[in-house]
Amino acid sequence: MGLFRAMDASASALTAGRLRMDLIANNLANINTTRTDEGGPYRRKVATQAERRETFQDLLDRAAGRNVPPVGAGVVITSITEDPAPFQMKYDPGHPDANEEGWVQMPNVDLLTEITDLMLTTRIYEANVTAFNASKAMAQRALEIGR
Amino acid sequence: MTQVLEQGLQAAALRQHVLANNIANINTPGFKRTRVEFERQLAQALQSGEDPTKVKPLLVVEQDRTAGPDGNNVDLEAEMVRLVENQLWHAAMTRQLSDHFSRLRLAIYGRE
Repeated sequence: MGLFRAMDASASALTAGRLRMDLIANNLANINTTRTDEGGPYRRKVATQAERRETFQDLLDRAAGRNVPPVGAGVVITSITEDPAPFQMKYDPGHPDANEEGWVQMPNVDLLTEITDLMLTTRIYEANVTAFNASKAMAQRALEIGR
Repeated sequence: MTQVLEQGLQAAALRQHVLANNIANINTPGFKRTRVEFERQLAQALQSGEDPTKVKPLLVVEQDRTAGPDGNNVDLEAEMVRLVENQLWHAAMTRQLSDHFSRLRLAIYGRE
């Protein structure tokens, strides 16, 4: 039924939004991390997303000969990549990771970028919650037909 | 009458799915919004005397104009407005269907 697919699409966006928020939280938590397993300071993580073309349910329905409208099934995070932007340099001769001239390589995490991304992600999350609630209300109304 | 309303409800459910998908992809680079065309087709069928129960909703992918730098053309405000419109449209049709059934009940039992 269309309404359940609508709810699935909204739910996929909530999952993607949650993952984005996790990444932002992780970036912020590591804003001062100068040592990682790979060596060097922490690199900012970014998620890339694409439209989810179909779900397992869609494939199953199509195989069973049921009519599946060619509408996407929400969104999916395709990869988490490291931001290749250069590290920030900070002059701090007392730092254990400072070079001979006293400069320390700091993560390429920018506080302002992360906070604006967090706000944007929160608003998108809210929009999807609203869409989900609208679908749910419609399904409930449909159940009341003939009562 | 119930058949046309049923079709309308199905179109509303499809539109809800399309709108949810548009909103879910508000931040997806290169995504193009889809819209559902149904009312116009239904009106044409009713005017030309064709069987209105044969009308199928049409999916149109919009390649338009206001695409941002990342090629995404979803307008969040417009989608939210369409979401509310669709909800009201769906509510109106469920009400009509319910009223239809209660009239039938009235005719059968002589009471609601």
